Amino acid sequence: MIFGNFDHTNMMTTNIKTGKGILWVSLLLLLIIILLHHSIITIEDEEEPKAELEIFQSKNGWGYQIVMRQKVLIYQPTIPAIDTIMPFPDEVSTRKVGLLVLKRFNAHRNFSVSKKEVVQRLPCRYNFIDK
Amino acid sequence: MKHQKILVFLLTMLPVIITSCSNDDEDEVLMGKWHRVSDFDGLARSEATSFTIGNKGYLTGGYDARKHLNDLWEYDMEQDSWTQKATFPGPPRSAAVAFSVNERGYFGTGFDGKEYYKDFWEYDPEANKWTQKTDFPGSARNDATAFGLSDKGYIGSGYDGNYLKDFYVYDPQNSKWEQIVSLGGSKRRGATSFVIDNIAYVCTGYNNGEYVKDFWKYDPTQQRWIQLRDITDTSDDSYDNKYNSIVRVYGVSFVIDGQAYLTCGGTPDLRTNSWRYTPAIDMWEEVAKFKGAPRTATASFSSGSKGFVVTGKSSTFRFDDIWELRPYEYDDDEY
Repeated sequence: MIFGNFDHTNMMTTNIKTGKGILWVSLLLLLIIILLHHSIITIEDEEEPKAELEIFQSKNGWGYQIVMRQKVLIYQPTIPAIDTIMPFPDEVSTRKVGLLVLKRFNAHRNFSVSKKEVVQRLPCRYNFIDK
Repeated sequence: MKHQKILVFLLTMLPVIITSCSNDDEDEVLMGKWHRVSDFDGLARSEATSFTIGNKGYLTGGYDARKHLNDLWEYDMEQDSWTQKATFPGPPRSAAVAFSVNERGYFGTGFDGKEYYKDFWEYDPEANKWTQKTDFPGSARNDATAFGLSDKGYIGSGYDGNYLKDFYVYDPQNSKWEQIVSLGGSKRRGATSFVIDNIAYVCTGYNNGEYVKDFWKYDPTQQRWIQLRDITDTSDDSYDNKYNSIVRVYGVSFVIDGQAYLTCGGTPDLRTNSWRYTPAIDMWEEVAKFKGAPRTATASFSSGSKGFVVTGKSSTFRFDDIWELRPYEYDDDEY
């Protein structure tokens, strides 16, 4: 009897423990599912390709564009920051300014270029612009 | 057994719990759908100034939490792409105003953290050139409101240390300013304005502890301000019973197909509630809530057929994303 009583109590304790275990496992399972659900969304958001620089030749000179996922985000057929509608005079200066913008763009920094930064990258004969 | 029931219940409720994580408690179906139109990290700023010429939006000035800005960007609404244009040659600033008249942009007033400005400039997109014009004749100020109307430009209200409601008209033909009758009702800063069928409308804003509720239109042929219905529930009639979230400061507006849309700004809690105004009936109705992060001090582009919200800030962030409202669509994700 004593053993029987002991067994019965023991069984009840085990049942309660098993019940609590199921509850905790189910709560844990729920938490994992919710976390997975959110992490999948986060991972999807984080997969962001880098932008690329494309140089193009126009009728009177050169320009650049910043492209991401085949979409043109910045289209720059004229020299930025300066009071002019001139395109870049050569491929080298176009690339120099374009790379500066691209670097900042991919670093999520302000990618506006200043007049001084542009003039520094143009051929010497354009130094008068900064005066 | 009891725990098994709890497990079954939790698993049954799982889709509901997950769905509720991503949905707001929105019951009412509101017309309109907000589209994020450009992944454009880097131009984050608040209190920038914008004007629209044709299908091009221009954004200049603002504050990026480190410094005041003077770069100028052109946004092509058709291509959804940006081009950097001639840097504004005056002192960098934020909270300035701009309007466009006859294919040219006009920009003036503002604040750089130390000084209020009253200088006034013209931007010619054809030549990509800035030219300084006659100074704004009112006091140097920020948070004014401005609009281009019937070949002339108007600037008024704002803040110069005091709340203001004086108004001035600029004639680009002779570069002359003239004072007009002051805006009726409350003085205000951070108001918004829009133009529909050669009538200008000024609404919202803040005056000395109050979010102003009086709403006015200016008719240039009569040269006077005409008061419209209040933008809160002040009447005994039922038309304004739902006018519970129109008032705000630093909201933005734009016009699409002869109706104006108002969004963003704060009271001081940030507003995402967006409203459409129909001039023919002088009535507002709520449309889809702004879908980007809630924000204030944004800029907007308004071509007459398209409307965009650009940049802005919350208490902790400055934003660089651009959102377009397509008013005749519905956002299925919201319901």
